[in-house]
Amino acid sequence: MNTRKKIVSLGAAALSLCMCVTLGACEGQLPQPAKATASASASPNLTTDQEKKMRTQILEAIQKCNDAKTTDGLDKVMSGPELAVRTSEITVAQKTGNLDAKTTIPTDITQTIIPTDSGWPRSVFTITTTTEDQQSKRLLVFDQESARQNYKLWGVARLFQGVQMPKFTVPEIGAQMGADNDSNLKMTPKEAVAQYADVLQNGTNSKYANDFADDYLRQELATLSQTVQQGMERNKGTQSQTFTPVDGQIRIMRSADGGDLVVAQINSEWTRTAGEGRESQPASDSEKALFGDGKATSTMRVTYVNVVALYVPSAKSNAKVTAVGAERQAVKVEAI
Amino acid sequence: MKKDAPVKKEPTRHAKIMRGIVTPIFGLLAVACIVLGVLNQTIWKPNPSISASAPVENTQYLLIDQGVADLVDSTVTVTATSASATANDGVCMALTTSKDAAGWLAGQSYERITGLSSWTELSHSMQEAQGEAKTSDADVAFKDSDMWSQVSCDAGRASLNLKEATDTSVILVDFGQKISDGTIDLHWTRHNIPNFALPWYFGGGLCAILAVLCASVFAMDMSARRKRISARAEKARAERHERRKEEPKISEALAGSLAALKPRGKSKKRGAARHGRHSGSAGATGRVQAGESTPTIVDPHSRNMLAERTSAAGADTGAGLGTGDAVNANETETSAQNTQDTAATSVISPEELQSYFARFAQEVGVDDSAQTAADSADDSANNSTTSSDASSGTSSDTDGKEND
Repeated sequence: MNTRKKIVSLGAAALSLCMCVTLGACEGQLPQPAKATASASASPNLTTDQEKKMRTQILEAIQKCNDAKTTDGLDKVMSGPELAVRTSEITVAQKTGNLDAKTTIPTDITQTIIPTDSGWPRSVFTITTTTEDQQSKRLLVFDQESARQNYKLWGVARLFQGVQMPKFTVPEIGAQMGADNDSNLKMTPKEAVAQYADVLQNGTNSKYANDFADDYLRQELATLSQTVQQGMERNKGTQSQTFTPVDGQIRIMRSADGGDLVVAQINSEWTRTAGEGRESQPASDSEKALFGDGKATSTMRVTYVNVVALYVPSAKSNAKVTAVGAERQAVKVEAI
Repeated sequence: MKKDAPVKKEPTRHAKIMRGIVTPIFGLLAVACIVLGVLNQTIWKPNPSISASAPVENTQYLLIDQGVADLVDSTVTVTATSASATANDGVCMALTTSKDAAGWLAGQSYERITGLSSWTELSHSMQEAQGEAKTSDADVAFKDSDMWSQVSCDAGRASLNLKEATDTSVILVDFGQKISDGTIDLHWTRHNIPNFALPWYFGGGLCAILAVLCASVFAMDMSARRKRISARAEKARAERHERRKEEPKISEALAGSLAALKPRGKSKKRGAARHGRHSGSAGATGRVQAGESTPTIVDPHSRNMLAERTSAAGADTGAGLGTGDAVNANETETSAQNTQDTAATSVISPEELQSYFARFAQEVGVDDSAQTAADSADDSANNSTTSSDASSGTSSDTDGKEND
């Protein structure tokens, strides 16, 4: 009986020990990571905080260059047409002593448009507030060339006063970048830029003139061209201006209503030939600064970098292609 | 009940087993469950702090998959260490999205952390990133990239403390050079710890209830229990019976309603009675005449409650009252001659009806004579209907005259 009792108690002890081992120190079921969702890949490329940080860093670096009137280090924060424009602006400032007011870029923004597209190059469009001296808003185009490079300020266009901008998806959801051959629009972005260049060159005589709404840049260029033309005619000189889109320098962001906001670089060459043995002189302060002490001849060729922002509506829309902003800066003045 | 007394004095074998073996087993189980519950709540409580690690070998980059950082809890501390990682910025760790990480890693091989292989180990594998590694002068250092939402760099060790890790973010680690002595460690502090004590308490409670039941109800002799149950049921049945006596039976109510419907249909056919209801109410006189020779039919519409009451007060007819007040409620006449009528309409007492059904059950299907009997019963019923129709016809005629 005693041995039996012992066996029973031993068995009970063993059983309870087994239970202790199996039931004790349990942490629950091992969790498994969920499968990657589509929403993860459709997230915006930057958060608004990241955009602000990136933009602030770039604008601070530009401000340093502005203050020092040096172009050193500009290429680290700028690329594309804006690098050429700002280099010229600082060069002019070095001569004139003052940076043009139009170079101001406000640090506050009204809107940022961040795409969800994966792959590079990537763009971010940001619209600033008006400047302290009530200049119009700036459309900033930041561009990331590759994954291992950072965003750079690729283009700046001063928006025309009172222009109606298209609506974009909020940055928390993210927009989509457009393609330059998108055929669901009134015209492909590439065509729009080429045709607008023609309109700028030929004014109302352009066969595309009616496809584009009237805008401030066209008016200004027409007025300038007319004034110079009158002067030239007095001394039997000639003038001609050619506008050429720069291949590859185009950034597109799709708006919420299906249209595309296209920012592109159009280079122009303005050739002025004075008649009657006269010398052709620079036509503006910036041209003068850029020409410097160069020896003037009868012919002067000035190269301009133009950044135009066009809104190309969707094919279904009744609206015309509209220029919403632009920047124009002489980058080279030479006597030939 | 008399038999139960000796059973109580000397427990049966069944009761012995229930009380001596089953009850203690359940009791022990209950105690064990509660003890285990307490243990699970105290010393075996799941650790809120979970640390899992994996070695990092022969690689410069490490990527923690999306959904891993928040696997256990959204509060996580990720630490990457490598004593030899002192080149460039040392160890750098960044929180980013999978597409940005893929862009940075393009063309590089990296160690991938895919999840937990146990509570202390991370599952990992070597992977080759798609794409081509492109370098340019404009490339930035890892820590300077715009793509990271959080970044931390230090010589030999980098750490990120995430308060709200999401399942969409990944963590990318750059050791600055190829290393083989690295470790990646994820430390979570769980806010929702699984409660393993509650099921034990529940089980314990259940066992305790079962133990009590085994010692009491289940230990009782089955036959005694059944008897007790049957006695109780019998009592209940008797009570119900008593109660039912006071109210009309369904069969009676049905018979009454049918009787009310039948004559109306037939009288219409014969064109004698115009209004069933009128004929019913006025037909008492006619019925008295016919009722002497043929069996009477109960017509609840032709009853006078007042008459019933007075007659009941005068002399308890017993069986007649047994059919219920509802049946009696429609009596119209109050004269003395109707005492006879009341007796005639209240022929079937409940006892009689029951005995009739008992007999009927015995007779049905036994022989043809039963069928014949039933047929003859039908015939007599028909006869009575005819007579009642006749009487109602007469009465409605009277009605018509009165109306005229």
